[in-house]
Amino acid sequence: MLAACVLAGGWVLCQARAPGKTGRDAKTSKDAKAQAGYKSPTCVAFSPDGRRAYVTNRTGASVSVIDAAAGKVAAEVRVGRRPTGVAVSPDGRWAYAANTADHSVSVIDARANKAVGSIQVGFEPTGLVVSPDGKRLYTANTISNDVSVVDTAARKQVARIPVGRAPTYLALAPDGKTLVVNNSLSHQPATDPKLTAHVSVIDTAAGKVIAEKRSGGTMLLGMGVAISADGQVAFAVHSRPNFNITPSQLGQGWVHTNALSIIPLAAGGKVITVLLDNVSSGMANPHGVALSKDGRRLFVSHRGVHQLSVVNLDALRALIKRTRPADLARAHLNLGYLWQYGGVVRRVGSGGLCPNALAVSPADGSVWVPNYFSDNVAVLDGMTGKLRRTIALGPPTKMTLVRRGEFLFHDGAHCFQQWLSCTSCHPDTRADGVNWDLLNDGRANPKNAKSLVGSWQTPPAMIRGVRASMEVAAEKGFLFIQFVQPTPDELEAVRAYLRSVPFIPSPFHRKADGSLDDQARRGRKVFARAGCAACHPPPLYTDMKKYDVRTRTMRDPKGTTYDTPTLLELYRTAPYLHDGRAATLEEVLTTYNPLDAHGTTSKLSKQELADLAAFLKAL
Amino acid sequence: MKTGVCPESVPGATLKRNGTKWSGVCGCCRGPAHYMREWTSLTRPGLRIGMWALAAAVLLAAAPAWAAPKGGGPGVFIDARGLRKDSARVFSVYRGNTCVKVARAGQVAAVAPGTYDVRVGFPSGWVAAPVEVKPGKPTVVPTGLFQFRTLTPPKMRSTVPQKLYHGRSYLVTGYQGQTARLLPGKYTVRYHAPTDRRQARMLKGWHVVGPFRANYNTERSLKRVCGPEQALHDLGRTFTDRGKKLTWRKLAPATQRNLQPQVRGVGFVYLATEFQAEAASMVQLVGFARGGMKVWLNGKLIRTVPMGRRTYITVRTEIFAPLRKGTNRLLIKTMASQYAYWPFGVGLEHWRSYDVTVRAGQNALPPQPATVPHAAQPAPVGGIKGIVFCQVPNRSDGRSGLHYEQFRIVRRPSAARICTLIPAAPNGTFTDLTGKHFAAAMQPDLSYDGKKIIFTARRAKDTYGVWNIYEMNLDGSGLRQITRDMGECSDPYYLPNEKIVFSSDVTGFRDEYDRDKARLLYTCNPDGSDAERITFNLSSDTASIVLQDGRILFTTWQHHGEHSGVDGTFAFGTVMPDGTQFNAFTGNQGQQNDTKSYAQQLTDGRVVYVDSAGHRHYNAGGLRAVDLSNPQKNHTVLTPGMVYNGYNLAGRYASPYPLPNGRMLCSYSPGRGTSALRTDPWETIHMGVYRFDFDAGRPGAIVFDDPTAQDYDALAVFKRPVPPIVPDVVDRRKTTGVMMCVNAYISDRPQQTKYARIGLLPPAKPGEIKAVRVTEGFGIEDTDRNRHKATVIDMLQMSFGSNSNAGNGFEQKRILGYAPVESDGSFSVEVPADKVLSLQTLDANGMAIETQLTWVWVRPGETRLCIGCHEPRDSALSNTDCIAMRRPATVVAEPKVKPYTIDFRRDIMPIIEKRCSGCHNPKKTSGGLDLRKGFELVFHRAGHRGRKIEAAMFNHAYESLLQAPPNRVGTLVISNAARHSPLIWRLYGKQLAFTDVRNPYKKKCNLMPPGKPLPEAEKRLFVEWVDLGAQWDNILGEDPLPGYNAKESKRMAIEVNRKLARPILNAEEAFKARCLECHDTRKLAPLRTIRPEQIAPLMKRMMAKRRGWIKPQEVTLISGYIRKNAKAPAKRK
Repeated sequence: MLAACVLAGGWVLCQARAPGKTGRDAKTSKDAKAQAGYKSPTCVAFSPDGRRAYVTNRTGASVSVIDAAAGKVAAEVRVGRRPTGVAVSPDGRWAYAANTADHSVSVIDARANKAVGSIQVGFEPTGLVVSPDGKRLYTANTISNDVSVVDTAARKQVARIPVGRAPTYLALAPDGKTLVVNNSLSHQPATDPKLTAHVSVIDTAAGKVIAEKRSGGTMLLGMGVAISADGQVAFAVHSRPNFNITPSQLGQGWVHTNALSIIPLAAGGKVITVLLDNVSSGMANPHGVALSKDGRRLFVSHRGVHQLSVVNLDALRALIKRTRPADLARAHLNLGYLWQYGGVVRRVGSGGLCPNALAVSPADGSVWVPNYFSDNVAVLDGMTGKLRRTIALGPPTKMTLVRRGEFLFHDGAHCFQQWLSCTSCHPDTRADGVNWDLLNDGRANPKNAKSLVGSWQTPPAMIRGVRASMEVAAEKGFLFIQFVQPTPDELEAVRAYLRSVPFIPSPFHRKADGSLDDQARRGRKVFARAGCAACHPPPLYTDMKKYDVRTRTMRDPKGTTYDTPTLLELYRTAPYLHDGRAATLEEVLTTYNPLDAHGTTSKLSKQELADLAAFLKAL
Repeated sequence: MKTGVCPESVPGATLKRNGTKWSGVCGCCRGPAHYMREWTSLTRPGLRIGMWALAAAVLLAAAPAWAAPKGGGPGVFIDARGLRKDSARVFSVYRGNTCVKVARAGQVAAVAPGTYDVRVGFPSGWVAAPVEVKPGKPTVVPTGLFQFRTLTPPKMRSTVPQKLYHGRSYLVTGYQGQTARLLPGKYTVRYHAPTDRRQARMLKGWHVVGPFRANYNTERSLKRVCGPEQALHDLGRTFTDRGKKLTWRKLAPATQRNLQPQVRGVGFVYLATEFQAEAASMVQLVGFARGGMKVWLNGKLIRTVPMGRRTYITVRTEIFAPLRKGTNRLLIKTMASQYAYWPFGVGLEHWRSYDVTVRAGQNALPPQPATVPHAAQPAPVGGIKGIVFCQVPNRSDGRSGLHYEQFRIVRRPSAARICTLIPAAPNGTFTDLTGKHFAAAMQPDLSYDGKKIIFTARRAKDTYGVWNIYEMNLDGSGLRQITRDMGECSDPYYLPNEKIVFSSDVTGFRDEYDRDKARLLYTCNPDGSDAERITFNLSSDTASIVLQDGRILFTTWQHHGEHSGVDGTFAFGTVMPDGTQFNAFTGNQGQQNDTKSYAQQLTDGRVVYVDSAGHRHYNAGGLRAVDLSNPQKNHTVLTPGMVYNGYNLAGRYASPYPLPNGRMLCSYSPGRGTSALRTDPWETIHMGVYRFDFDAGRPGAIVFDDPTAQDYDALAVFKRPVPPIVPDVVDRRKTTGVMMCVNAYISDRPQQTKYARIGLLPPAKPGEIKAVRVTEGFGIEDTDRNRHKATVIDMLQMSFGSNSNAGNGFEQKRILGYAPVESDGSFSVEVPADKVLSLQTLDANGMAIETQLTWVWVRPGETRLCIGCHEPRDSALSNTDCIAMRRPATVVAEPKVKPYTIDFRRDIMPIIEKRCSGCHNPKKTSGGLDLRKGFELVFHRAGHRGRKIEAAMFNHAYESLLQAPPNRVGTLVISNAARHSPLIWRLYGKQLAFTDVRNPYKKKCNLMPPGKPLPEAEKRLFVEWVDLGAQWDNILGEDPLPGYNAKESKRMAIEVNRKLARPILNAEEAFKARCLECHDTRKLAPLRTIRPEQIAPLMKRMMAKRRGWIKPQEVTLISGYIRKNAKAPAKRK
């Protein structure tokens, strides 16, 4: 999911609803306290006059209201947990913040600087926009894979529009008629070599998706999106991974490239994807996108490298104009495309660590960049990109071991030529849903990326168990995936961070009090009956042994067995099985278990299967 | 007794000659003065004072009348006082257009009375003066002296060349203090001061018309007058050439240096441009092109450059021409060639000039030097602690002692030392760090904290000692040796993980080109332990640095096959510190054979390097910068000015080094020349350390310059960021690695087929590639230091050891195996690790479509992936689902697959004897082929460095197949390309693929032998033999095969090499080289106890026995050495 990195900091705060008995609570809650001092600014929005800026603080669970002229925090408004998206109503009267962990939107009275209410939306809302007339509010719900439409007057969710998997941010055309949603993951099974995420285009009047925009290359981890002032073109950032090929080297974009897609919103327009990397260095984890006031420059924040790409759109348009169509179709493969003439793109520092979703001030055109790990907002000159000032959101705090580990997990700048960070394949320490053929266990046998949550409790690590533990795997990841030698304390920090990430309880098939609903309760019985618990015993739902449940492919050597994964968080770790062949849990139980080698599921009725799937989804 | 007349202009003075000896008193100088001595020496055979003197001596002997006019008769006398070496030496006496006498200055020429022209010859021209010779009285040719003095500031004085002209004709180049003896008259001296901001500008805005068809590059074509020549500069005109309509069109700026992409085709073209001149002036037009050229300026033909035979050579011409004020029009006719690179360019140099009037018997001087403010005033450098640099004292004659070649450590300056200047300011403290420890020390590198240096050095006493790597603190303390027993080590650099990377020749094999020892990259611990080879090339890899991202960047000499001709190519490659992920960094941008060396990364991330024109000219040339955003394409020339055909007009730059904040240090010597190695005959190198002025594109303030030494390789002492440590991913337990390709059809090579030739063949067509062949190359290890001293040119002519005479494929190769290529172009193959490999893509017949011209390797356990065959280097991987990625790699490594090789004598000759010799033999040379049986070798007399050598290397059949006979164009075998070889077509009875347009076999391709095709297995042998380079000897090591007399061949090789060798003028070295071959340490006793009187007869005997081996010049030296070191034998009791 999203350059997910984003969310990671916040997970630690959601202790209360974690399904207990996993034996980690004491440790993590201690760390949660240690994290409490951090703000972790994530998104920024301006009042229409540009005099006030609203910054969501993910771990601070608040919205900082900044007096733009003075450059000081005027107020800090408590909101729900892990606020991410933020928007201000056109009249400046209300501000809205999407509370990702609470599945709600906080309404802030801009006069009183006080949260005055909350609106329940879909699961884990991330991006948030307000319509130009201020009547509607849209949130992109990462876990429920839809967009919530909220009536701001009634403060009520009025509709949910299904989009792609794990939508992150969205943008609304100036006329309010078109809504563009960037999705970070794909619904396709990982065995599909054509797997790609897409950008959903919604007609707000009809309340449905009218187009799914795909690029010539693979799209994944789509994050920020912006629409030009004329409403013709959307700019979306995403990564372009090469998971079909054994990535033998990191350089030259052989694992991840980081792309900007130029999406014509008119029907039939071809998406042009260009790379923000160049031949010698990557721009890991593009995140926020904002257009300059005059619409002639595009700012893209790169979370992994603590830099911004400043794209000169005039020069880019000219460049595209003189490129032959055949070359343009391959521009997403050309690391030198934006760099062949000077002046198309340049890189500027973000004024802090991990720049998140940025915004341009309507008052003076300056670019405001919330820097997640620096707890500040950097103000860059809208013309030159030079750092004007940084606004601290709280008192300076020292990074704890876990916080440092979290930072290193999201930091792509230390990686060889800054091509990627841990989050490039483990967004938010979970998985990107695709198969990678890494060299640690031989080649030509791609495996679905595994979620790292709980990996410290469930050795061995990796789906084939080639690493004895998370601790070993973490080190090897640095050495052989990022091609960088970590220092012992860096390694310890990352391990501590991975130990600190809790499982997030599923919002699916749960009652308001968090207990299982009826269907899931029935499913729990089926779970026991079908013999699932033999290898997936609670509380971690794994016996930490390796089996072949008759899913071995021709690509794997004979006798290959696979680690039994935990079933916790199944609701967010699709696709399933070692090579991600099953897009849904139902497929795991039926299509890919014809011989009952993976639990005796063939004798279950349709209803029982549905119940079992519901239970699994509720874990 | 004969009499002569003193050449001095004192009538009546007489000299006497007795036979060859002259005596008497000169009337002017009262004794057997200098002229007499010269005369005497001239007539004594065996002592030479230069070629012209010898010629004169011959003339003297042949024509007595000319030396001694009868009865003091009429003569021409030539005044020669104060004559200097570089000045006029030869005077020719002309009557009309006929030369009647040639004389040296000071000689006497007897001619009949009358009017003559006396011409004074210069290296590039002559001046004539009329002389009236009257009966009975000697006539003296009047001359005057002119002394060159430069008009530039003192720092530059000795190095600014001045060109002397008489009218429009160029005579000679002179330097500060030199004197020219000239005939009276008006002369012009032209020069350009190094301080001139723009020394040359390339003319732009060209229009082109053509190509007009022409016979293949003949002189006649150049003479053929076509439309544009008649309608000079009328760009509106159209022309018809053999039915084709031709119009003027604009030349795209990008193609101005290479006409081929724009013009495409064989023939000649006209190019026209207009440019403005602010005032009427004389300028120097410097043009380069291939083949012949005709140049018109403002409608007037000003130069015709004849075609010459070697059309593949870039011809450069310099024309002094008058520009008129306002618009000037230039029209050029130049011949096209079939080569992909067709260079063209015209530059304009504004030279300053002054006039000189030379009067008889007088000294002339240039006008008083004008004071030109020099930009390069010494100034301190801020932000750094000081500089570390290398210094080489000038030789006693004031010339540079710098003799700096990258791969040839033996030629490195013997007296180099590493010095510091702290702080880097005119008043800084100069310290010689290494003088007291080492005979020579150079190539310093600073640790990242700026506290230590690492360098290569040779110990003081050990004259023949190898170069090793040493480390030292910056204050001169803490000296320690790092490498031991690692051969000759050079180019050390600190790695971020505290290891060291350096070059060493310890593998002992000889490189592909000139058979010097190849140097490769190694890493070792700080104490020199655990040295590990990290690059696998058959030529040299050197000059490594560590980039800010942790990669090692190095200069790699790539030579496989016909890579940029026989010279190979010098590109930059990158590799991880563990030797994995070898990739091209930047290739040949600019000229074809530019040498790229001495890269450094500036603090702003750009990589700067020295770009030397031509190949093998290291560390001196222009500076270029590469932008890391796309190193293959984004490079800029930092030092504007033309670099062409071995000349860099912008001066010579060396050893750039980063300063804080993106600034840069560099070394610079004004003047022009090819490299530190090759210079203009009149040029002196004078390297100093400068700051580089990026805006002006020239050196800025001087940092340090010792007028008596060359100062270069300067490093700025400041704290540099330590690059990240790239982890070691080599699995040393494994013996193999995997090579994979996404799509072998992806290539950035042009699909052009019409004018393709080997080396420029088009990429494969879809579906054509069926398999890859993995070949392994071997460097030749030979303990005999003489055997492979010869260069590739020698090898081509004599081919000792292991190569064919085909002009490519220098190395012995063997086939490791084959792997299938999937329908989508992907393949994966498991190959032996740490071997020198090259891949060939094969068609359905198993014949090479493309041959990889870079040697590559995998480290143990490494997986290497490439996108395509010659894919664009800025391309990212595409997320393609390849068939080959879904299955295990095909293993082409032992023990699963056994490697094998194809050798002409062992494998091919028996088939030829069985199938071909019956019709192709001396009696029936069908098709001009002599494929006679047996291994009788063909002897040739080959020219080499002006000498003739007789050598025989191959038998008749081999030569017949690989050499173009006189009545044929092209050869039957094209090495490395079976599908393009007419021989293979004959075996298959059809043309298999396209080859050169001129190939006469295009239409006719009979099956051979007629009606009885070879069995498949034999055909396959032929194919593999040709694809491997059509090697005569492809068997590694000792060679027991018949027909190839290894012993005799080796003897002959040694013999020829000895004959070729230059005399050794150091007694000890000569002794070692000439005597220790047989008198090794055990057999030294007879020489040690030799009696002095035995030495001369022994040497005489040896001279007779080893003809041409011991050089005459060495005899005295060796005799002296033996005499000095011999101990008198103990007296017998």
